[in-house]
Amino acid sequence: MKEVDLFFGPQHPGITGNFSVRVKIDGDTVVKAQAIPGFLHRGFEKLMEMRHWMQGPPLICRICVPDADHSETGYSMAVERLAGIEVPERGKYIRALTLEMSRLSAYLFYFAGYGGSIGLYTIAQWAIGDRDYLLDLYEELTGARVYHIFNFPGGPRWDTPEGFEDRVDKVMDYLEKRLKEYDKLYFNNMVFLKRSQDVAVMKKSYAEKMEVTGPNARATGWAIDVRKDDPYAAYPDLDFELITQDEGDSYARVMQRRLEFQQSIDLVRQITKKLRSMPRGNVRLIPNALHWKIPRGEAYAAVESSKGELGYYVVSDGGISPYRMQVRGPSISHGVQVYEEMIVGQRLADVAALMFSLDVCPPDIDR
Amino acid sequence: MTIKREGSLFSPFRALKQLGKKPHTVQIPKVVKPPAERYRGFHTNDLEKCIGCGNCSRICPDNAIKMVPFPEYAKKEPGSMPLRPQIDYGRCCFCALCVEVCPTGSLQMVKTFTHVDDKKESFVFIPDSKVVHETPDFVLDTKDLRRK
Amino acid sequence: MSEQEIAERIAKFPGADVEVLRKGQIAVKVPAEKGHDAAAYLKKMGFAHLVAVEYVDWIKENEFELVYNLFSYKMKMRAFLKVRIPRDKPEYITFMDLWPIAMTHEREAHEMMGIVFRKNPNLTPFILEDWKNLPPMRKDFDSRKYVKDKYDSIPFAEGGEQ
Repeated sequence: MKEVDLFFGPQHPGITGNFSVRVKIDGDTVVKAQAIPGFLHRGFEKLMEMRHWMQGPPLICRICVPDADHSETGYSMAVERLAGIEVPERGKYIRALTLEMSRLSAYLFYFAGYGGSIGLYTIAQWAIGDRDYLLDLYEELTGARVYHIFNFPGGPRWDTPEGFEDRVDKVMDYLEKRLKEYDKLYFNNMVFLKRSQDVAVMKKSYAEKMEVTGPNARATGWAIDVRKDDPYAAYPDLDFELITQDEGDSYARVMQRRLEFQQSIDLVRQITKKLRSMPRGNVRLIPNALHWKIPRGEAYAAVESSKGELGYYVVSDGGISPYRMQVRGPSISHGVQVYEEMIVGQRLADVAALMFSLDVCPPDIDR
Repeated sequence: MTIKREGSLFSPFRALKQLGKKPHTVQIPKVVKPPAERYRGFHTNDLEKCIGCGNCSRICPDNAIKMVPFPEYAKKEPGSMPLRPQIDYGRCCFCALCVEVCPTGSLQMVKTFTHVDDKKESFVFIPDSKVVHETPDFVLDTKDLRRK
Repeated sequence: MSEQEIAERIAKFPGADVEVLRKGQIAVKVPAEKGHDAAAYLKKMGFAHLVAVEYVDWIKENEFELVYNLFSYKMKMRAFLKVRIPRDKPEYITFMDLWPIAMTHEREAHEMMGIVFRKNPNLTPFILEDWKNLPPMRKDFDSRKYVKDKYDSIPFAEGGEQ
């Protein structure tokens, strides 16, 4: 049959964000693919060189929209390591709380996206609706819903409001209850099973070779997690085991998120329990925002975002703004090269579904 | 961990029982959901308390704040400048860094966050102790929209 | 294993200048011509994963710095392999044979900094579109001037004319 060149995106509704894939199809089987990022390039790395150290988080949180806290925290941690400052204990717990809530809301976005890409729109509506309860909590804690601008170098900006922990627990109970309904509607749905099982299988050896990180790697049976391998915030004190699966197909990748969703709920409960027993107050070290100079040197800090390892490499020349800041987006490994190779041999209908199942976030490729 | 890979054709139908439940959405404009206590909206500035130091304009990551001359506040007290911040809400990202660095605490943020106008000049103004609109500020009249 | 022990083991590589930066982070400086051998040595030692390739423009020293950010899941340790190449002849060899994913990282470094990686087959445009100017991440690239030329004006709030 004749091969046809097809531009999939950037306006295609089935694609995540501003991204395009040029696929060559034979019938409806993909024979060659080329990922075209760059539709959302905003030059963050260059812009950061013109900003003070403290002016970073309002810009940097925009790197990945559904998962803003991980971006802020990664940058803040790199700056803290460079300046040699330590966040107060309560600050670390509040930071971990925002990170886990961010993971929960990003996973809800993920369920919505994958559900939408295989035609289960009810789950898309549900997940986005339930995410709003988490955004309400964010609004109460940070003062904003999507871009929280909350985790700064030195610690989170404010302490939790009175009675916040109880309201967090209430939402966690609600989400846990909803997860059972999600199981019925979504994870046990025949449509979902037929569309995801044995689709785009990623082997463990392949994941290791291509430096895939995050839930995608754990779904192949490779037990890696920055929270365990290079612990940060309050994670060394929290009790959790890595979840891994062996299959590595689309189904395993979605179920990996579903299992980690439950784990994150447990983690949030551990954190709120600890926060209640801690003295309030001291959450942040506040350096002089206007004239803060950081000694010469370089530092790297990575966080386990909902998509994988999100790292920041920060270089200082002793001035009031970064000399160089580079972002290692998690999608740069699984969004370009891995995606291009894995999509070959799949059906056209799976082009968007695979992108959602790998959780490609184009903004963190572009920056 | 291995999961049983089986589903059922009928389990999705259990979602039908959601039909009788109360919706999660709020019926705007009949019900207005109040913003949280810490919500970062428009600024207020106590012009008497403000000393015109310009910290807010220097920390602003978006260059949204410009210090404009205010001759009536000249030489009020030592260290005070006859300048007051003017904020461009087309650029403002509501990060509240300006509130954080304000030495006197005169610059604050309030919960109001909607401002509707067809002139772009109205988005650039000097905040004073009054907020732009009193809440509930913007009530969408759907009938009005339909007519247009 | 502690950072010091690992640093001592790395220092056995001839020409390596090893520095322990902080807990879990080691910087290794090697001359440019030994970069590939050093990377192979580190990979054999256990730093088996390439996290990212960072590139820094040290304009005062007239040099580009390439930082190969390596991680070892066994030792839980990061190593930054740094090589410096001259600014007027920005050429280096690809590390694709050691880590296939280096292709994407090098493609980005090529576009953003103008560094040519020999033997990398895929140095095609990546993020930028129809870019004919100086590579944008270089320190002598003036973003303000670029905006003015491209869009005729810069906003007043950014220091432009009204």
